[in-house]
Amino acid sequence: MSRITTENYKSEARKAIKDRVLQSALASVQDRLGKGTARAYRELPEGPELRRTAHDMRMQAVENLDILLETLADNIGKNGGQVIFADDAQAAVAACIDIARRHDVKQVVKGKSMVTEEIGLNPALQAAGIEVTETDLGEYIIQLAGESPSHIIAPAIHKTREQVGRLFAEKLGIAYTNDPPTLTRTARTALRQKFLTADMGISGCNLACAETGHITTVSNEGNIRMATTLPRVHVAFMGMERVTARLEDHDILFRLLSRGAAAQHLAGYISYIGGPRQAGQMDGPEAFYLIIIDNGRSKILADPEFREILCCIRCAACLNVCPVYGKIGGHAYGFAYSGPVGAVVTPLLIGIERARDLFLGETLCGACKDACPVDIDLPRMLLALRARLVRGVSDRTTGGSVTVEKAVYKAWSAAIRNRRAYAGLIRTANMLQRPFTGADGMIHRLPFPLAGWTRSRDLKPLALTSFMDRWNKGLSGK
Amino acid sequence: MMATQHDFIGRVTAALGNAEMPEQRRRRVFAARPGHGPGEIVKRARARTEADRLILLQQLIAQGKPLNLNVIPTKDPSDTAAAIAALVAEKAPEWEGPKSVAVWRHPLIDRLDLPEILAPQKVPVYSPRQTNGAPESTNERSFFRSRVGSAFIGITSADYCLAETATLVMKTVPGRDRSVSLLPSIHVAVIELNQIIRNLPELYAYLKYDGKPPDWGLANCLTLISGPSKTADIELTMVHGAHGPRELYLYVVTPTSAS
Repeated sequence: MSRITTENYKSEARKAIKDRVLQSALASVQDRLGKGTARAYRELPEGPELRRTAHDMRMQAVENLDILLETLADNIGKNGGQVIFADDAQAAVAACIDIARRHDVKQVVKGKSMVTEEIGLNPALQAAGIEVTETDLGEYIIQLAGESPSHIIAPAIHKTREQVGRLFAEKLGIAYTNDPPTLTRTARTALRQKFLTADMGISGCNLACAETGHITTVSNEGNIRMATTLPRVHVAFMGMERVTARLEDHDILFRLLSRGAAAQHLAGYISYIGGPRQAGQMDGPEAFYLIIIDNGRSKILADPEFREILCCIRCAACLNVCPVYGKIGGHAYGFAYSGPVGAVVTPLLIGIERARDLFLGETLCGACKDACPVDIDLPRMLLALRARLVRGVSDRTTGGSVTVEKAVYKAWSAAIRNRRAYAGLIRTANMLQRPFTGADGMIHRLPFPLAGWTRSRDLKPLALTSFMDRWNKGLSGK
Repeated sequence: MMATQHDFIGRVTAALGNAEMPEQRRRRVFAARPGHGPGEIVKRARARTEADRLILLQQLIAQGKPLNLNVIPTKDPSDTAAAIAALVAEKAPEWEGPKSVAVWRHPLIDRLDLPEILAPQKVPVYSPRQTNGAPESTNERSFFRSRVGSAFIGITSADYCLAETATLVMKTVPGRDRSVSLLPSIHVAVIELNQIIRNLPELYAYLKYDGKPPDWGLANCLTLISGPSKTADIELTMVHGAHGPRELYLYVVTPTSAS
């Protein structure tokens, strides 16, 4: 398992908010990709409603996942590929190291894959004495810097061109420059050598197709094509839900994925890979392995409340519109997946209690649902996680905040059903709030036990005259 | 721990808790999407007139522009070959070493007579040897790798080209190796007008329902290419030529010459 730092959500978020460079990078990513995606949906010939169709398509696939996985595995087998099923992260990592040993692999080139971040593949391969090079430019930058991705599709978005320039000067021995084309060419040259000498290429899988027996990889750089064409061995990792039944499903899903990820009509490169090199072909790997990973997904599948999250195609569109991600960035989420999707999927994978701050921190504004190419109801699940957290706590403990909260709600419930008690309560509150109301007419700080309400926001005071009083005066004045 | 396929899928079935018979579910999930069944789309695409195809070509040109995909209609193979010769003369190699070109073994590319056309420039043309199904040796493959790796231009055809998204579609089959469209700095593709189809649904219908094996299907690798290689990973600044080709030229042999 990769390093999980969800417990540091609040302190990391605080750090991120103070980081001016990060704040401007996040604003720029949301301004360009967030708005671009919305525009791209509007320009769809079928209209934004196509996202609904895609949702149904994904849901049907998830609800027949057993059949799809069986068909996919059989068809890949027929094409000469090998399919490995891994229950958890350890099994997936062990399978990959085993393959590497059998093929005498010393050097690996990798295409960007979030599921390999989830299972902590890179450190495990390095511990086994295998050199791993990330080849997506963003991933390469953060690998050189020894950091983790902060965005699902733009992993180095938290770095400025000056920072990348200094990093390349230090690690690759070039003269300092902050010119993106020169920096890109430096990486192109360095990585070209890696591609030509690597023994194994590792990729993820965007959406497999069960009926034809192919995985797909998507990139704009061409690095995944390199990693799956040049080395002797190709190992692909796939979260078990990333499969469709029919080839024609890919029409809608790839058009939406490309729009959600980067506001493109279609990503630059999409490759269908169904097995190793065939006789008469001069390139392509001798061996092709697909490792299909559960790692907690079958538990999500069994839970009707959260099954929907398995429709996700990891495009990052929800990150690009989320007001919380837009302020705290990806690192605060403390796991491979950030933003609204991370706030739902991480607790389900690693534990609701352990990752509680992630879903408590989101605003429930609903922007993520509107941006999702497959129309996943993320706000519903954020709320459901909160309910699950409260229920879970009250199941295990007899005292504490839940009991107090229940008592307060009981009293509130009694008060609002009694007109006179309610009016009295409002009058009292009106009097009590006066010393706390600032010159600008807002309440900035309340005393214990209400202090929590004003810790991170200002409150508007209660109106001096209640609506009912004004209503009654209005009636009498008629 | 490592699971068997049977146990793994059994657990998925249990998690789904679906009482319906697997056979019924199988029929339903693999039934073609309405309107995407056998014959329907392919029949319509085949009925296209030349005028229809010229409209698709115009759409392809327009869609290619923002992607930096240069779509160039040509009159015939010799016209195309002349255009390619001019490109070879004009462009400088990205890496050290003399100019060389790698090409697919493909009927349309053969008709260009490139070895002869490029001889005056002394630019060698490498194409993979016909193996007639005999297993190719490791030596042969590494020779191929070094030739394609040192070529500054790679010349391919394509199986289809999608007008709506300006996408080249290439099946990996012997003689049409995928590194020719990947390793050289410049990718040149040559297709005929009737290879242009409308969009992804048409492509998928052709792949699923058109022709017989071995032409049928996706092959062990199918590549979709929409424009040259690009990245925006440094401050979202667009740069072409991240890992794959920096430039992409698509010549469309158009008999009526829409050029």
